[in-house]
Amino acid sequence: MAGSGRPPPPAAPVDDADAREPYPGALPPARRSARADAVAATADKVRRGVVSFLRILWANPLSFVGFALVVVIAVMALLAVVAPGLVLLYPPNQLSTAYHQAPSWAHPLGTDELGRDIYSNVVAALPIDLAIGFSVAGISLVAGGALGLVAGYWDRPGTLGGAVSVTIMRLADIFLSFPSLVLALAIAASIGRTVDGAIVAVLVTWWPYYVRLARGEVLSVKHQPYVMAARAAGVREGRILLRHVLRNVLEPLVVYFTMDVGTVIVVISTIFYVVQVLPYPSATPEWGSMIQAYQPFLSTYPWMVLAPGLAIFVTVLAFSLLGDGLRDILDPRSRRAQAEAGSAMLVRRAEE
Amino acid sequence: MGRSLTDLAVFVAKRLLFLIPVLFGVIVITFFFTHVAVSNPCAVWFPRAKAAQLAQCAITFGLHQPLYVQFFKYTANLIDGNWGNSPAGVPVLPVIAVALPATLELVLASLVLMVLIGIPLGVVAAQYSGRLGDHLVRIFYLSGWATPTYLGAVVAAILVGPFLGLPTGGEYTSTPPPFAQVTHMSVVDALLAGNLPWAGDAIVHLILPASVLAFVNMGIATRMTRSSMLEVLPLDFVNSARMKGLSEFIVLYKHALRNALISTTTVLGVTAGGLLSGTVVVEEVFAWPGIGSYAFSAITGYNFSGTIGVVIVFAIGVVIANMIADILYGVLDPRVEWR
Amino acid sequence: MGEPVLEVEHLSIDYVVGAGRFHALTDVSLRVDPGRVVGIVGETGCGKSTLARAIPRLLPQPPAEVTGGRIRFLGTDLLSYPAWKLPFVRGTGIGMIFQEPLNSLNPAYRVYDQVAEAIRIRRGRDASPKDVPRSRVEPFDYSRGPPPVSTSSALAHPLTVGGLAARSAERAKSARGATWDEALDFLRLVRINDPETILGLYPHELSGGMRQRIMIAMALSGRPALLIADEPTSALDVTIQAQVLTLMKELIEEVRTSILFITHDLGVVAEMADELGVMYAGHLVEYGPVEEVFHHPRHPYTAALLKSSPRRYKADGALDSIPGAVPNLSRLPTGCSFHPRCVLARPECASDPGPPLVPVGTTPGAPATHLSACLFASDVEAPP
Repeated sequence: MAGSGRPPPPAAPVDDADAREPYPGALPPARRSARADAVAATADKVRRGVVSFLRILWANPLSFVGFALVVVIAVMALLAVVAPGLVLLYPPNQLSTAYHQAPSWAHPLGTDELGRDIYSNVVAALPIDLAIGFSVAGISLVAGGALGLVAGYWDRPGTLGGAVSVTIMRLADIFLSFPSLVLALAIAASIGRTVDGAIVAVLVTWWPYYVRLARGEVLSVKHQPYVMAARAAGVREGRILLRHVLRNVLEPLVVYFTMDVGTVIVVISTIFYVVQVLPYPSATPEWGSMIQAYQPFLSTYPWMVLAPGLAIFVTVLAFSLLGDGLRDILDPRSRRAQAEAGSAMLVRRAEE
Repeated sequence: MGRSLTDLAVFVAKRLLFLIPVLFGVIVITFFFTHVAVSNPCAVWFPRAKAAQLAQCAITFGLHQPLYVQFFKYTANLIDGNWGNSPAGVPVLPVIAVALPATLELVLASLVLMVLIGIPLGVVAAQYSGRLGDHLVRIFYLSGWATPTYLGAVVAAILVGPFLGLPTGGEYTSTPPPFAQVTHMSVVDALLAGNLPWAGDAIVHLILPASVLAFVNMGIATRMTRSSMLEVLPLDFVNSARMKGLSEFIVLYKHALRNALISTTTVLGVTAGGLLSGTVVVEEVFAWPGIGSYAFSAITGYNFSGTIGVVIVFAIGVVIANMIADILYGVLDPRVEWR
Repeated sequence: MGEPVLEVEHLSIDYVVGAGRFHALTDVSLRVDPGRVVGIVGETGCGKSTLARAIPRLLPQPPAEVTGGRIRFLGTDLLSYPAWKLPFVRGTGIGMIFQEPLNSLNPAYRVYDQVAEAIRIRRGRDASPKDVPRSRVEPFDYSRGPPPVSTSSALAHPLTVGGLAARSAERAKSARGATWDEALDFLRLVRINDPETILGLYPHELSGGMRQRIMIAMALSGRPALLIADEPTSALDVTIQAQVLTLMKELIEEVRTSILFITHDLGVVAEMADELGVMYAGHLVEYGPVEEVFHHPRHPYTAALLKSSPRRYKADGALDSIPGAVPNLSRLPTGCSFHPRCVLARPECASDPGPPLVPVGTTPGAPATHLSACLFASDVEAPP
């Protein structure tokens, strides 16, 4: 069902067409202009790609908002590392006598019980949460995705590949039967309460989702006519996997990854909140630890908790809006559903 | 293979058998992280202990023995029901057994909220696909998604609860209740005792923690309902239901949703994992006497036997939730055969 | 003749998709008189399904947008009818048969539940009539003689989840016995053998032809004044197609309800319809009594369609086809939409959109009800 709705694979990239002409200089002028056409076509394709990406985002205002927020957050995180002076009002953890100030121009998010500027600490915490989110989701994407690709592609029972496939999936199933947050908390608590320990703990529980997702996508792609055509044409299996299968599996994986960055941030900040890996105040402020430390002041000075809370909320929301919108647009099932909710024939015409 | 009751029984038995390798995997994984990944777990358990004390600790827990011996003893103890003691010497298993029903009650309550609110929201979003209603629903469920459970729980307990005048801690206003706690589920116990005021009190106490859990985990169900409704709505049987003269409400909620729910049940397992994980923080914040708050204190209090015990119970919970989801799937979709 | 059951007057519908606008229907008028069968023929994408769905207001808006015209059902204008009252028109007023038998029955419910639903709705409305258009005369007498007594046994259902439900359905039968019996009658009406068993099955357990029969039974069980059949046989195998067509032909004789029959198959229309409309690119290009249109087509598109009908092989086995392709509805040709493909096209066809449907009384004795939208209607020659 899902597979049949998948759009056909994109045409072979144009650089392949170039490679087929080993001596461009020897070509007659007519051929050379054909080559120029090919270059122009590439440029056109890139331009069309960018335009269609923006149009896709624009079609769904919420995902556009998410995209804009993600860009702003990424820039701020980068600046907080490279040039802290540009985005921080005060050095992180700098004490002052301005205790429990309500938000003002001097302290946009107020101050805490030791006179620290909450805005500066919240922004200073951005890089670490974002970096953990990206690295955990990224490593899971690569490792889990690769395992899922293998498990989905070589899964004929009775072969070595089939045995490997079953092993991978059984292992993933077992890990998936843990509530990931609880297992991660337990692991983080047992292998040592360090940042590295927390990251490993999340990673251990995170990869199986990508295995399952990648495998499911491979299964729906690998019996498509173009894969069989490539096999019939004598293309090597490894090459089919990388060129034809991977390319079509990548899109849903990356969309899932986009949403997942936010989810990892929620989980890792929960670990920091519960297990006190970086008890606040530490050299690197962290949102979960800040909320844990400020919690007693919530009813009297609510901004102290709400500021880091809002930081997590907005960051995760940004990635979710972007990923959710992209998934909706790129998911062929829901795209088809939208098309048919209008008029199948007419929308298809419009796409031509 | 078919749809007879015997087929269903075979199906359930098979799924229960699958619990065995999963539980073995759970034991291996917990063993790995408590005995193998760290050289001397005592150092983690007792961070401030001196070298001599650590050596003594290793002997007490049998950590000096070969790993396979340790693993055998570890497994044998777990199977035997000897799940160890907390550092204070309290046995783990009886505590978990008493706490489990309270957690079950909380999780079921939030599941009811999710079904009653989250699924209709998905229908509304699909009905107004691409329009304002869709966007509002999307913002709502993504807000839940983006709220860390602990933040939602803390804000609900300290800001929302007092504002709405809802209780923010415990199962009853005063404890212990004037009746026997047979099931350890607050509402059920009160009802069994025929004590309606206390049952009402218990329900009021459930509202906030269950709402937080539901809000934070609602996204998956709403999203799945929305996208499967979008798949179902263009199908002709929806129009043929309209053409019988049925009202739009019946068309949407009887004919279309009935089919869309089939896909929604598939994500129930994921939701169960989220709900169980969420109880760790929610129960701690709302002083709910379940295994969630027990897990919180075990994890923060260096109670390793307790932590492992809770992880195992939660894993069993997720497997069973997935099995129920599969059965529900089969019941909802007449085309499915039990296999 | 009496008051017409359905009058469509100058109906125009656009689809708005993004920045694009497509003229799905342009100035379509037709009328269905009581007890008559009107066929609409056209290629895929000519707007005939849009027309079928527009009448009971099934088109989702957006993307559909009615830009003009009226739809009068038993004298009531449906386009200005409040949306919440529409369900009262559907089912008992207008019934519909869809193209895809795979999708037109709800996969989650048993056949009985779905047929009974329609029967109960009609009963409810018979009991408390609302101020909504319904047929003022009993449109048809569905039963030919008393139905045989149903004999279903609990033993017919093995110990399955389905069997248990079926048995509980039978236990409840005593309470709703009349509905059960009536559902049986309607299944017999569409020539289903062993209706007791079929009522207890799910749609996926039935063949496509069987599902389409049930779809027909369901539509008829509301006893509608007007039945819209939207390509009811196109998705079926050829042999099944023939069976369902035979059934429909017999039912037309029996039930005497008004039918709007939409198809791309000229042969089907010839056997069923009293009047025939030919659609091209959202326009109704020719309209008239079936015999007239078949033997004296007055629009070059109709003539071309007749010529390219698969039943008319030339001696060498080749099949005539119409040159060119159906135009894109967002970029219709200027003038007459058909002129780029028309053998009779003259320069003025590219600018003059042609007359609206006007009577073509060229043949002596031809009825004034034969209409054509071609400037040169009298030049059209009937295919041999």
